[in-house]
Amino acid sequence: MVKRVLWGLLAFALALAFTWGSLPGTDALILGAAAALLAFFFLGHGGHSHHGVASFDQLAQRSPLGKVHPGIKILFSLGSLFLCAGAKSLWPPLLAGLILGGITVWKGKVPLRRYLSFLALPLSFIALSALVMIFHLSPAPAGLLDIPLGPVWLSATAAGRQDAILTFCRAMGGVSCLYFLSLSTPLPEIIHCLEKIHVPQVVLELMFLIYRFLFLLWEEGQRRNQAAQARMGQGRFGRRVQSFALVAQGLLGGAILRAEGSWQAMESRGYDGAFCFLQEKKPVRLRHGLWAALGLAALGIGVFWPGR
Amino acid sequence: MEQIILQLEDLCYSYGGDAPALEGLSLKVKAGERIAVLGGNGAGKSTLFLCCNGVLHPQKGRVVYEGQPMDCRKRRDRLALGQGVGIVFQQPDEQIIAPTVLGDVAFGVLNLGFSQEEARKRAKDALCQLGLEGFEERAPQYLSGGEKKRVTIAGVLAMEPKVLLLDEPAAALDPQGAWELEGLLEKLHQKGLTLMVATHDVDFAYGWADRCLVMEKGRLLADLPPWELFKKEELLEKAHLRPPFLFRAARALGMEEHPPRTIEELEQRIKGEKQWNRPHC
Repeated sequence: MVKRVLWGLLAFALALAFTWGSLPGTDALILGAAAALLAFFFLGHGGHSHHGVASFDQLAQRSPLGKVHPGIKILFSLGSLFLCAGAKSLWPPLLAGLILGGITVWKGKVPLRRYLSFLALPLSFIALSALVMIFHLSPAPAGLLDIPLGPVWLSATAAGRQDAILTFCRAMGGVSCLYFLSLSTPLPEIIHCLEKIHVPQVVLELMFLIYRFLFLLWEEGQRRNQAAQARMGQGRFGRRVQSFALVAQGLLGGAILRAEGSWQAMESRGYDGAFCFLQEKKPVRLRHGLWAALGLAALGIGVFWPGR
Repeated sequence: MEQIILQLEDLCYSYGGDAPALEGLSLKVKAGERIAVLGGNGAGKSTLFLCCNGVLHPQKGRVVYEGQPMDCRKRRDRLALGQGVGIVFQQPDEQIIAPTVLGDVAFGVLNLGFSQEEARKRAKDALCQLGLEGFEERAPQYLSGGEKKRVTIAGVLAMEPKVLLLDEPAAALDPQGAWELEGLLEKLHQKGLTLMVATHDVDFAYGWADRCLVMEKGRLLADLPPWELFKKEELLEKAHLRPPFLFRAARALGMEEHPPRTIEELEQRIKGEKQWNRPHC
């Protein structure tokens, strides 16, 4: 409940800050209230799902967008990311973010609530940062809102607000681009693509191993936490911190032992220093490539169109 | 004359602590045998398996596979032993390494130097043998315990070993899984594989094995058929083993000379004796 209220307040503040002065006062307040309600209902819960690491991976594994060649998805996603980051006006990244989010939810069949809960964490950082960006320190009161701070003034300026809105839209667009990639492409496929561009073998092998062991560590950590909880280790804050430290310590020790066992298991199957994994070949469909190219071109035109 | 497929000569191995993990262990394994390796935790069963497969190189003694002595410091011998003698580890999560089931089963085959197509074909065949058709693209982290176990067994079978070592295979399985495992062991035996199972389950060893090895503190205490082994009470006590339930029941029923090895056999013999003893009207 507390989370929801905080989200509502943040959304209200942000909407108001972005529109004060450019919209009539009552309109700005209505927008603020609407944003607050939306945030309250959709963003305030499920920031940490039960599955943690597994939820992204599960959605990626099951995604209907898995039929598209991962190279196309990577190029499209990273291309859009760079274009969003370099945009000079707010509409291209905002639209790109909404469209990519729409594709992820509609074509990628990610439940909307889940998607919004994933968005909540980066959104909170970006929103807070944007609010702060509106303010500048200046020697004299010179803005829409001035707060005295001893010899200087903390002023909210129109230029600062422009910056804040632009940064907010760029960041949200970028996050949507990355989520499009991570919710439609499992990590092993991404690693195979990295192999094609000659990323060093040792880096790729480390990525594979870390990916595999992330799940084991997560499950083990969950189990140990539950065991601690069963012995009242999760009550007061101090006790929770202590339990966390002990669980982390146990995980490290357990992981070292596990690593020994896994090493022996790999050696027993002939591992000799170089990972040989089965290569999965996905066909590159012209249709997908064309759509991706079209999307990038449209975004590129929007970003680089002169005279905005 | 059955061929001796694996021979261990005076094997000694120490992990560097005070007590050696294996001490003067000698063993001859014939092709097609079913051997149960019994012993408590720390007896040296896992170390024995790792030496047989070539992962651990014994400090003294040697491993002879198909008549050829193996030096596991040499890559060629290590590969030959690793291919011919396969281990299925106790914890499937330790053994599974790849992001897809098919990829994991193909891992060992690719390490042996086969092509991608051959590895894919062998992996698919192994999955079929284990009843895992349709699991090729699944991610191993989301499988059940029994399914993971079958994936690890498929991963070793795809390398086409002649000897299969299973380290407490029923440990991570539910009763259904354990029952399916027994069926699988029978299928593999029919195919001519030599099987060695490290186990705590004396009842299973009694009913299944042709031969029981009892290990304690790195030494081989006994190497006998199960119906001989469980008669030796001092030996059992020394090795902290109790006689199997069926064996005790048979002894109580006076069948100690040729004790039945399965429940069905016991039932038949009891019915048979009842018929013999029934008064004729």
